[in-house]
Amino acid sequence: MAAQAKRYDWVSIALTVPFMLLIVVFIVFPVALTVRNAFTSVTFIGVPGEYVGLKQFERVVEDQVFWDSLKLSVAWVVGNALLQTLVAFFFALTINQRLRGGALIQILILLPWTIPTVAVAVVGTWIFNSSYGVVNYILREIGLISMPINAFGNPDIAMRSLIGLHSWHWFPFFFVVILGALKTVPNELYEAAAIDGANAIQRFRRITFPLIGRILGIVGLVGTLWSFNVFDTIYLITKGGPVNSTYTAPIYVYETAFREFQMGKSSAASVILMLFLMVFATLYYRFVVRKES
Amino acid sequence: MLAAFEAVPRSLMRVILTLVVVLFLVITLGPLYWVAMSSFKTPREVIARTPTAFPSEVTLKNYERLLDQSNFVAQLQNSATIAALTVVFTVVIVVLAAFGAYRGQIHWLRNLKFVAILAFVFPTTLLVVPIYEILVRIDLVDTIWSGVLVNCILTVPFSFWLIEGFFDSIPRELEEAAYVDGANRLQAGVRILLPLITPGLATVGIFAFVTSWTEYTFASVLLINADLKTLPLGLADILAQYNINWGLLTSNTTLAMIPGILFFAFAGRYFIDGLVAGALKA
Repeated sequence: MAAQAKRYDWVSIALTVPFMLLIVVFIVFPVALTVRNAFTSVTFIGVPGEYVGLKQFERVVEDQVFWDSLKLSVAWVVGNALLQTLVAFFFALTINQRLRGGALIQILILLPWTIPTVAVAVVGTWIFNSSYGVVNYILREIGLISMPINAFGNPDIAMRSLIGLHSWHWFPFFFVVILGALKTVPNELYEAAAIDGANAIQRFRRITFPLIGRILGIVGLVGTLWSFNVFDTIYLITKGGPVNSTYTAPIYVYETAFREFQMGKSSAASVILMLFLMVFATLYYRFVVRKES
Repeated sequence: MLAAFEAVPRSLMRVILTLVVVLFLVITLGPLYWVAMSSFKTPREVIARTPTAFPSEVTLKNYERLLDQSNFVAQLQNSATIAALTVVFTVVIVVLAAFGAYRGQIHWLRNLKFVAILAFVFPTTLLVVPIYEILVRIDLVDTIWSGVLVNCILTVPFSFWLIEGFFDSIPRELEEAAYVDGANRLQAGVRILLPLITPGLATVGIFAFVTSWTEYTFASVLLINADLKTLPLGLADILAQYNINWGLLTSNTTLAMIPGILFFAFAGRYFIDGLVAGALKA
């Protein structure tokens, strides 16, 4: 063993080569390509463009649609984070009360996460359908509404409907992680606190929250970045409409590249968004995750 | 108020908790039930003004039409092939890299996990354009392999990060004992480590399967030929039609959901345990 340790460990390097190749060729290199394209006049993919300096960035910054899309993306992320975390947390706390059938319930709850995003889109448009949808029917029957709601066709509520649908698809994932974190808190701590006269809310604040704060912080970061980049759910249902009410940043990037054929401008927008997310992730890590640990 | 909360009798509390869980399950599973039920209804009943909880007349017409008219079977094959290859490639790439990084003598290799975190939080939608460009150049667009590759990009970084906890939970002494017995690194890895990280690999495999099974964005750009379309692409085609045939669409959706659900019913337990174990150690 000692003799082995003295030699340079080429084997380990070799083992990581496929991993590094994948990352370099399909993540690092594409990012580099995007940055390069952002400085050129390229329109269609494959048609070489000329170097134009910062012109594409100027075009993006001057484009009101871009800023509107960024605002909508922030609303989308905040809405999803609040809804998913609250629901996942609430139910994780409930299930953690050692209810019977907890293991089966966990699997059942995860099922929405296993279905294709397109199927989620179908489920959403079908149950919220304004003519034949079951949700409108139930709401009408119990007297909450008199006119059917056009969940994805009404610009005032399309965004909220999409957030609800996306949260339905993804909160199970966070539910499982949060529940797992809750299970790591030793029961003795709660019992000791109960003997000392701490009530349920004090126990949550003083024991549960500090112990699982770090995992919550990480889940929050991953969830935020994942949801910022959601494209398919939105595009499949509303294509960014009606009247641009769900036109988030990823839709802007996609449409600019594949519908308007302005690859350079789309790349510049991508680079700006990338920097934006990096700054966000760094600040978040500094002030939220590190503080917790 | 707090006192009131504490004063609720235990049995009543239990009833409230159970009701909450039931409500929870209705919200989670209700929509799936509704879509599945609709697929067994006749064209008239499926769009009835007063929806019925059960089909008054169960029909398989929608399924017959689906199998007759669409490329459903081919799409199922494509989805299954891409998912299977994605699982295999993800597991192999991640296991090899994890052996090197988490069990080798080069400490900086461990930092690859930060690269991995960076990659899995990176805006994947923003990568669609350049990845398309790269795949055009290496002539892989419109092949099954482009589907497998992009899925691996989505699964490998997260999996590499997740598997660390599993490697760290195995004491090095176990391997060292094998070296003393004269085993080389390959033998120690395959005989000692591999069986012990199987739960982690199950988690990674299931994550890869679900990601691949549900992926739409990249596939919509990369798989253009009708023969190569996956289930999500076929579904999206029906959804995009102006006059949606809801019987056809809900039956197609039901069939597209079943493999994932079945798979999960058997393997879900391992996934949940592994996800929690991996995420907590990160």
